[in-house]
Amino acid sequence: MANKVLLDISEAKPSFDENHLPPVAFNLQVKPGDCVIIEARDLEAATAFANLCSGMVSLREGAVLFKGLDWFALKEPRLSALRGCIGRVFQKGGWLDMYSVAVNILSPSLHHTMIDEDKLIDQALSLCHKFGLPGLPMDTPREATTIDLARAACVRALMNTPDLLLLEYPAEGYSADLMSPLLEMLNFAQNRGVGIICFTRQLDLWNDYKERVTHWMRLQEKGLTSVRLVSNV
Amino acid sequence: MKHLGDLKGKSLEKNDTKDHIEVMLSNLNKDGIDDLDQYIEDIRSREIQEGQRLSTQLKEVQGSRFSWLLKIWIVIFWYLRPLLYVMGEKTRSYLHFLLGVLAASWGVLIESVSPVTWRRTVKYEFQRTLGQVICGGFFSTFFTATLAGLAVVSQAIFWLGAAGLTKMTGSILITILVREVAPILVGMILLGRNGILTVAECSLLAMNGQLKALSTMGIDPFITIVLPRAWAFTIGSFTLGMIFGTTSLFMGYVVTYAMGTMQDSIWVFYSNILSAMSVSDYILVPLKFLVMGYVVGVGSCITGMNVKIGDEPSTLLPKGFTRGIMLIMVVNILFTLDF
Repeated sequence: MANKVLLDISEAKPSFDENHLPPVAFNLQVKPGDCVIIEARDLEAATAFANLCSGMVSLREGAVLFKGLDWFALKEPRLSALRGCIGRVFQKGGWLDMYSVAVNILSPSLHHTMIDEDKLIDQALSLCHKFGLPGLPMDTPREATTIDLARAACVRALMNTPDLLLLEYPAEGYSADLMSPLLEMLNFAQNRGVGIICFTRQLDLWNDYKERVTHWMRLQEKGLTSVRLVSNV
Repeated sequence: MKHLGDLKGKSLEKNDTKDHIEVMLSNLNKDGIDDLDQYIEDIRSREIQEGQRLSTQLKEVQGSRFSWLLKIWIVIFWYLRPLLYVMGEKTRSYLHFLLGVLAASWGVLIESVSPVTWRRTVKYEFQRTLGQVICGGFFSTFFTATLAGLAVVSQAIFWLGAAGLTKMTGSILITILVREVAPILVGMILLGRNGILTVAECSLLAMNGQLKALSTMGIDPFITIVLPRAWAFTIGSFTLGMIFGTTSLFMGYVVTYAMGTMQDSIWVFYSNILSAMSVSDYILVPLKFLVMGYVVGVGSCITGMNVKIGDEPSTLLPKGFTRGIMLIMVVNILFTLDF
């Protein structure tokens, strides 16, 4: 399992319709237990790249394989089922305003699994406590505070043991209250063999976690490039 | 001289091909204009505008016996063109919408058969919407039915009694109230109370990128949003229709009984109504309510999800309402033809 590639992006050139990503070939390999930190100053490009990893961006050339399966060779309902193996923290648009935050947290797990609802609620409650929420928030996303939504987003991403975590700026702008439980949960997830791709504006935010990070990268106009860190980063 | 000859040859060649854009392109490159595509687009639109001028079109008519007739036709068409444009645009838009509703309706039917479709999220959305449709529409339906009972039923009973046609009361009430008025009024209550809400919700989902987020999480918005809502509207419409029919007849009876026009008991009255119903009424009247709810549900979701960049609530909600009314009338007419 350790040698298998979880996410394999090889020479993937986004189509012209995707105007947030530069029209260059992207290459990235994420193995189980890997943690890739990507510095991306362009927030739209980060979302677009996360979409590319989830098979949501059509390609001109190349391929994106997740768990050995080509996104574009799959059809529904297998496609949706495979996307259900990804936990994601969205930068925006991740919350359905018509449901409570609790329902939003539970929805992906309720949709993709047949695990008993009570067990899922217990799991969500346990994660909520770890991230500093008193319980499952019953407010709608509009009523909830930004920090609570950030915590709830982490809870949702980690629910139901995903194979890959795509985290768009999960703790940016928030206090250490969120960063420390996040790092603890990421460490736990990595030990279980979960691949992690995390976008950030500042690489030094991840100083405390640098021993567990396998790749440091930067997303910019010329594509995805590796970053060699100096010792003080 | 040689160079001049070459140039002349080149320009002639270009004139032959009539590719003015290429000539301009070469000049543009020298001038250092960057946005060539935009410039080409401007030139093309200018050429099209030139060609579309009335005087240009009239000049292009070759002299023949009936050229004056052709010129008159060009002038008439020229002045009718804005009107035709508006008519054509609206017709195409409504046809496009109708075809979209048909396609989505078919999709909902096909997907509903699969047991994989009915996951917990889909059931949750179905229950939530059904509650909204029935509980939210109950009082509106009840009061509308009461008013219809007072206005239609009592008046029909009174005037038919005065004309000595009491025996026809049942068949007339079935024809007017149950077959025609009730489905339209229930459809409009459903549309106003829940259809518009669905348009607003779905448009917000689309505009805020939440539909895409759902797809990214592996949750198909068509299965999770459109399908359960379509069925919730269907069942809700049937339920409200039955409430409407029963309440309006009951209220009509109460008023006429109180006025002394009606002497029979309520059971005899209902029995008369039921005996006036044919076998087809027992099938087609409930079917009309079901289809009405189904198309209103699908149409509202489609209108909301197909939101355009320039759309705002002030334009989208009236669009949703008019489209919903159109669907109600189309279903009503189709069923009326079948009767």
